[in-house]
Amino acid sequence: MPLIFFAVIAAALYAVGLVSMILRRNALYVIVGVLLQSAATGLLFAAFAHFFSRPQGAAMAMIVIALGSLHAAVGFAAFTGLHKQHSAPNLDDSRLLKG
Amino acid sequence: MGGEIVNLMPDSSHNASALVVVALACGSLVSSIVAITRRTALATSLSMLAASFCLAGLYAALAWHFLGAIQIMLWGGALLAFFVFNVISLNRDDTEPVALRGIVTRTVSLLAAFLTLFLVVRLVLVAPWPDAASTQAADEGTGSTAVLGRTMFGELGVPVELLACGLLLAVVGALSLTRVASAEKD
Repeated sequence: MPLIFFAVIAAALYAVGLVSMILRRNALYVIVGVLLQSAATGLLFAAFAHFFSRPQGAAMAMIVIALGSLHAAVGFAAFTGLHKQHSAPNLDDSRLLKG
Repeated sequence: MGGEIVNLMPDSSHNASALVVVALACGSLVSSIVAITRRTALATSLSMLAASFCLAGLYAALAWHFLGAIQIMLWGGALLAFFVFNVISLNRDDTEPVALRGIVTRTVSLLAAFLTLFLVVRLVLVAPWPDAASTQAADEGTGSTAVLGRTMFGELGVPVELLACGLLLAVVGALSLTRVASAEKD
């Protein structure tokens, strides 16, 4: 299986996450979009690390996976806060992070 | 191993292994599409769980078994537990799933996203990347936890420590966000 296969899969995953971030107004789906984008990035790092025999890429993939969980943790906290303010957590009406 | 997908099933042929990799890739794509198109958060969380397992399988196919284990532990364990906890306590249908306000801006953004994707795929297709035959053979032990650990705590020590600080800040930020929301509600 060539490297291009994993690159195309990662690009498609990234596009799905991007579409979710742009089209959905519910905060939960925006978080899901960010998670999918980080997963795509990690997969691409791991694929390049494998095909070019560079363990640095796998370490970066691990960092990306951890960063994705970091995004999700903060995102879910904000989502829970939004849900306490509004019945439907609509990002267009959100003022949670306003100073 | 260099450039070749690791055979997931040692007794089977290479074609069967490639078929498993294709199935895992298709599974991750379908699961992610299902995750963003469902109206209930529970279906979304279960689809993300399926996508997580498929991605872990892809990591394993790339000989990074440790990454697959981390993927399942982080997403399938902690993240999905938190996800499902939120879903159980806050679950409700999405009343207005697709944003129609600011439709022009969103349309332009969507077109820009697809243009970016097109350019990336075009770059992927025309780039003179090495094929499986020309890639350098991997060192013995590449993909092992020892190699990954030496890399992470050796030359990538600073980014890893910065990531640890970021995780700590994320915990503090998440706590403060929920406290601000509770105070505003009161």
